[in-house]
Amino acid sequence: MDKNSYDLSKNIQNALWKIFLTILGIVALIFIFPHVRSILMMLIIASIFAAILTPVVNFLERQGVHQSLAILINILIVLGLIVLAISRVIPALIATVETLSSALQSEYITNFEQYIHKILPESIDAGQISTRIVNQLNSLVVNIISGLGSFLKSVGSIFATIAIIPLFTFFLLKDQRKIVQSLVDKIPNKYFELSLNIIYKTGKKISQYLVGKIIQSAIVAALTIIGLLIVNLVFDNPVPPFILIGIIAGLFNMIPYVGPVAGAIPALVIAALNVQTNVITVLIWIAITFFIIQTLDASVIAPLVVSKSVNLHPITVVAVILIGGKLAGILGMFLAVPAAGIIKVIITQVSWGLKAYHLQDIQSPNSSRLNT
Amino acid sequence: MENPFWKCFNFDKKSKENELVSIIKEVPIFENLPNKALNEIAKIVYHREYKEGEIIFHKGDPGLGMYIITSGQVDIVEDKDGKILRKYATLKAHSFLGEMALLDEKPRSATAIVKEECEALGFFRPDLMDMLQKKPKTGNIILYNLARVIGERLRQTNSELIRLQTRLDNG
Repeated sequence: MDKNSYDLSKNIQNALWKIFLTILGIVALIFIFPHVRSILMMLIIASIFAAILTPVVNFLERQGVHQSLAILINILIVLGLIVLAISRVIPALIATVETLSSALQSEYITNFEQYIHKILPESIDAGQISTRIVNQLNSLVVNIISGLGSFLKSVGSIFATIAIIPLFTFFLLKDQRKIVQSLVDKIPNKYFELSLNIIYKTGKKISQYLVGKIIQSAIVAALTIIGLLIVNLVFDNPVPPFILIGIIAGLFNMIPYVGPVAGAIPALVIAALNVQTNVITVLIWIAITFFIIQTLDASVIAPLVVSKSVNLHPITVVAVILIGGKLAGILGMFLAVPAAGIIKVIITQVSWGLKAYHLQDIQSPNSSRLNT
Repeated sequence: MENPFWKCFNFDKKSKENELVSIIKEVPIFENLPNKALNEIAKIVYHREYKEGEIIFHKGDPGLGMYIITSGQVDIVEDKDGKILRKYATLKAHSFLGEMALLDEKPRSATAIVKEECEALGFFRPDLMDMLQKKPKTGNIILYNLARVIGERLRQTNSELIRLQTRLDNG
């Protein structure tokens, strides 16, 4: 057997083994998929965490902290923040709803309902408005808490979720390069540099975008808290849960166009129910506070911290929020815009790569006459 | 005989890494680096195998990084509409190409086409930038070596230019 035919048979054997193992893998995946759905969900969540934490881990590494230690510190901080948020925000939310419920049953509202009943006796019974709103508020709190529980359950068992997501995040952050290398290994030479460039650029932009969004929300939350604190000091405490309202405004700010308005509503409603005199003046000042924060956000904060390349058209934003809501409820509405941002980054980078790179073949040097 | 089944699982990773280190340390850009740094570079380079006639990169493509040829031969050519117009050089094993792309994303100045089935290691700019931030000592040595290589090329170009100018002046 000569060397060439020996190499050929070895190559065919290698190729056959690879095809066999790939088919085996695909068949196994089809059978296993229903059982691994929750693991896939955990992987997606861990990937989002990894994308957000990458710049922070890189920063710590630049300061001389060992990679594994930097990742561990970050994961522990995130876990701590989540536990803190759950233990503080949910009780604060319940307390706020209780305050609202008692405010709704106040004399002021009862008088208003009786007044409406006098004018339009057919339209409404006295006490109906406040009862309805109280019921809605109670069901909202129950929905949020049960939604959180069912979300964790949908991912897997709560314990498994809490234990496995940080573990996945750790390895995604630690082995990022190996994952990229194994992905790129399978790409044909013709598309190798194009794909690698797209992966580098996309990863960087997604990370910048997510971190920018989080910083933007944190600044908006802090400014809202400060603004409402000033309003509280000037007007005899019209919005007592101002910290909670600030956090909510920051979270809603993740959603462009719709978020800022939705973030202001709780503060306005609470103030309207809480204040007995000068209601209009207080409401105007709260509205001005939110307007100033949003102007600052649009003109200073967003241009500084959020990548311009991820700007989404207002119609796209509304459409993706509706789709997100349809697919996964409130959580889907929150995740829809960042998800659309990520998709836009990927599409932009792929179309840039396809335009920038020349992909045509050229005549082999051995088969052509070269002018040397 | 090596069993192709086990080959699919890539168990001989350590010996491959050692082999990569021995290739990398021969490249001028990675001179004077300690073994630890060479091992780190071996982990971040991309190993590619090319068949005859395959393009490593095209003239005009955004530059991403350099390649070290570990076996085979590569022609550096100028091409237009899928045809080769001129050949500038033929690079053999242990040569490197595309090193200017380690500095910026400016378009490639020539096309690299495989003359004889080859294997190459790719070392890319984002990884160098990452290294400069995380391991500044290693990154700086690489940059210094890169500056030396580019300086040497500039010297050669200058002397070639002077030689051609002299020939032109002498008629």
